[in-house]
Amino acid sequence: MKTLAWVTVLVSQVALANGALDVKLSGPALTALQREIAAAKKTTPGAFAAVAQVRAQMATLDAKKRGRFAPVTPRLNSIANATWALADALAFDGKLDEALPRSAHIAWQSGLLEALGDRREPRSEALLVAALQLELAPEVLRSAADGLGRLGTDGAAAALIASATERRGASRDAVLAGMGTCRRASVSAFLATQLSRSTTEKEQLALVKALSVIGNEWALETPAGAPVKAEVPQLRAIAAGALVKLFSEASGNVRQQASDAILIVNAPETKVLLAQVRVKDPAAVDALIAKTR
Amino acid sequence: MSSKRFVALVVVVVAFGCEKPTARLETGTGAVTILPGTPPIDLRADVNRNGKLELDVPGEDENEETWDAAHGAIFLANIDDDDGRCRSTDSGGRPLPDATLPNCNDATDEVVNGDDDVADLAQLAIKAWPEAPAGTVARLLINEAAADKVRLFRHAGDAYQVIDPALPLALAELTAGLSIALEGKDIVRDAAVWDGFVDVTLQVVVPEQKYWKAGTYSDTVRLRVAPVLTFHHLLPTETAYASAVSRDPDSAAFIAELRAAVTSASPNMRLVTPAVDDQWTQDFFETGYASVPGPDGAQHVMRVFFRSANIENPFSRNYPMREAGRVVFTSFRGKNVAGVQQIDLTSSEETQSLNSFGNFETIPPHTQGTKQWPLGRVIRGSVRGFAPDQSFVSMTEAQRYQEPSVNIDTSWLLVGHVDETVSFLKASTPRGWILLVNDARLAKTMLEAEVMRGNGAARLFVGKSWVDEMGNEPPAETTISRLLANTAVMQASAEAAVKVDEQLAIIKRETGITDAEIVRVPFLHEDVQGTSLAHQPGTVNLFVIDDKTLAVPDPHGPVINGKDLFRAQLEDALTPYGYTIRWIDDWNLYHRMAGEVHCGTNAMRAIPSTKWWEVTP
Repeated sequence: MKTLAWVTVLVSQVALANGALDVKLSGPALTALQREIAAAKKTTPGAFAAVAQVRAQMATLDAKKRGRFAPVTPRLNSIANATWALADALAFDGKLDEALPRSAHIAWQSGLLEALGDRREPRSEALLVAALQLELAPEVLRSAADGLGRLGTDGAAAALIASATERRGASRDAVLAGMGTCRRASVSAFLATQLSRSTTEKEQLALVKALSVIGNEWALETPAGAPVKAEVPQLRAIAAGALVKLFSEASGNVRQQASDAILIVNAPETKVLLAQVRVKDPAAVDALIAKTR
Repeated sequence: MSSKRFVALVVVVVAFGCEKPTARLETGTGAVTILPGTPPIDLRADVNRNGKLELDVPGEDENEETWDAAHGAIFLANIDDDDGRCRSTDSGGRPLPDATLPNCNDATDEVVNGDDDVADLAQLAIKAWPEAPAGTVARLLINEAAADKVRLFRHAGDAYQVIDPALPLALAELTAGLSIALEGKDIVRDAAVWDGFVDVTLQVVVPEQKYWKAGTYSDTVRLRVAPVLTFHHLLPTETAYASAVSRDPDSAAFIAELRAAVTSASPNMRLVTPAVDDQWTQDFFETGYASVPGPDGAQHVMRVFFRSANIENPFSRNYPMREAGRVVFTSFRGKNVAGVQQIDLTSSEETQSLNSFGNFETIPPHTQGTKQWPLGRVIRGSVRGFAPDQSFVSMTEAQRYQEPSVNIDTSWLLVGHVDETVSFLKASTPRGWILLVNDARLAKTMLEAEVMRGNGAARLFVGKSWVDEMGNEPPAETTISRLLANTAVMQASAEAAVKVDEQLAIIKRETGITDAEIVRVPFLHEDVQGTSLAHQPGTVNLFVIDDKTLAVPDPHGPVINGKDLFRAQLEDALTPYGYTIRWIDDWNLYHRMAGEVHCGTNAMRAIPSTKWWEVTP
């Protein structure tokens, strides 16, 4: 039995090494994931084939890309019943040819993370949390936070806050920038607090982006936009408050991005909040109030 | 010749009665003492800009050492390849490296390559001074900043010989006069290095003798190199371009549709289809022109193609740049057609997309306040920390006549190009053009209205898919209600609405355009890697065939009462301006790869009647 257990562990480690990311899963989480994937392979084999097809196209997609990265997420999003096919590619069977350009790897890894998160399947939380704990390119780490955030679970929120707290520098900025998809009051409060303490422009911009996402008016109107509807007024007010405060204190690009974010959030209390800081720069505040709807 | 010297010359002419001073003195009465005169040295260029060099027209000589919108000589950078001598491969048949590929044009040799080449040279002349005394030493000097930017030829009969500024001219070239040709060796690349002006000075050292005041005399003519200017959408298309990607049926289908649209609108318009494995025809080259005064008020024109400053293979020593851009030199460079390349190979990977020319557009002519841009004005996506190759930007800034550029924030977009959200169309309005701008808010409102009308189940993207060659392709098809419920789409669209408003505010401020002159183009965005991308086909990303016909991406929108909702909206919006829309299905080749029709096309347009040299930049 002991030998068999070691074999299982070895097989698992080998299998994990072939995933798009070298995620570290073990124990019940690994077993559960393997079980879900095995079951899905029987019931939705087409989804696995479709994800594999996108992977096979990555060299072409990257070579033909127009912008920074090939748009992989929409392709993966369009594959029906693909939750476990995406998880399989992330963890076990989705490694790209190492010779492909960095941009191809980033697009593929980010696409998998975002598309998996967009399924909003709580059972994928362990895998997405494991991905968030890796040392990844900032773009991929941002997507890991983004994908995990879309689950909106308590566990996702806690993992995101922990990751952002523990990390430093560019990787912290990446997590901050991506975690706005976790539309929970705790995350909004965390982001607001971080913004009040932030002194670097890069971090401020990451936080502004996250707050504009977490409080995004149109996203919150969608059925899956907020996992806990009761928290919406609170998380949006927190986001608006933090952004208005920054708008009143910042200058240049940070102020412009804060201004845009305030309009994207478009919280009911925005005008009141702006009126409270009007004394600092009446003309700028009035101009922003005029843009609010 | 300067006005001061002109006065001095008058004195000489009066004193000698327009005769040889020696003859006059020999027959003098002795009652009159004739003082030695100022030598009549005279260097001329086409200062009055009528396309010909005139030695006896005073206007050709007035204020010749200065340059403004009213007067001043002009020359071309002679960087075309009139006799087709430039090669794109080495002796072994290997493609020339990116760094050396541009290093061949008519100015890279010291030969005047035929009559076409002569036409690209500026004509100057030293007016004959038959009385120049023996011992006079004359030189042609060029100001230091421009010394390596131009070349002077002496022209006698059909022969052109390079003038070495270090060597004096022959005395006979003063006494008989000298025909000179000036050849520009390059355009302005960086105004901090060279501002495009050249001061050519005829310097004459007159020795001690009886008849002329001894000393050093000079006559200076100022010339300016023609800037390279880009085209705006108000100018008629002469040649359209779309890449023919090998073994790609979607590329063939796109070209067929585009050809049908172009042919039906303008039967004589050419559609050129470069055979490159790069479908983004808008991005890897930009068309422009340089012009100088020609005879009878015409412009003598050199077409110019810029190669995009894209780094594609950063670790390749010989071929780091975007390969398709080589067509600028391998296919386009030729008679009266130049190629220009300017790149900083150390620019960041993150900002490479901004160097594609979908991010380099030209706002049509406009006036704002006291400033005028009669030739249009560059617009690009550029903000601090997310800006295109600075060396390329410096080069376009140095052209001056379409600058300063209007810079808007495109950092929130996955691709980051201005053509994703704005376009410009000719219109019979006082301004002469309208602005098309993406409006995600309008798209949402239109779709919500259909839900209210009970059409939430109407389908979009029917028959389309996001992934190719699947056998069992995941369909892109969705419904209005599902689209409005898509969190990632609505999140990105809310952001797009605000960010486009911000872009629009800048364009309004810089051009003075008003809401009445803006056509809203509705489509929603989606979130990809924290950035934004058109989820519905981005119909603002269109190709202007002529002032009546547009090639626009098919929106594949919901069909309500037999009409595509988004087709109908845009047709209704543009019909009052006289436009017919040719809908192009670009879904497979472009839309799902983050681009649309404009991204896949390019155009060489007609030269504007406005002459740049008559404009004050």
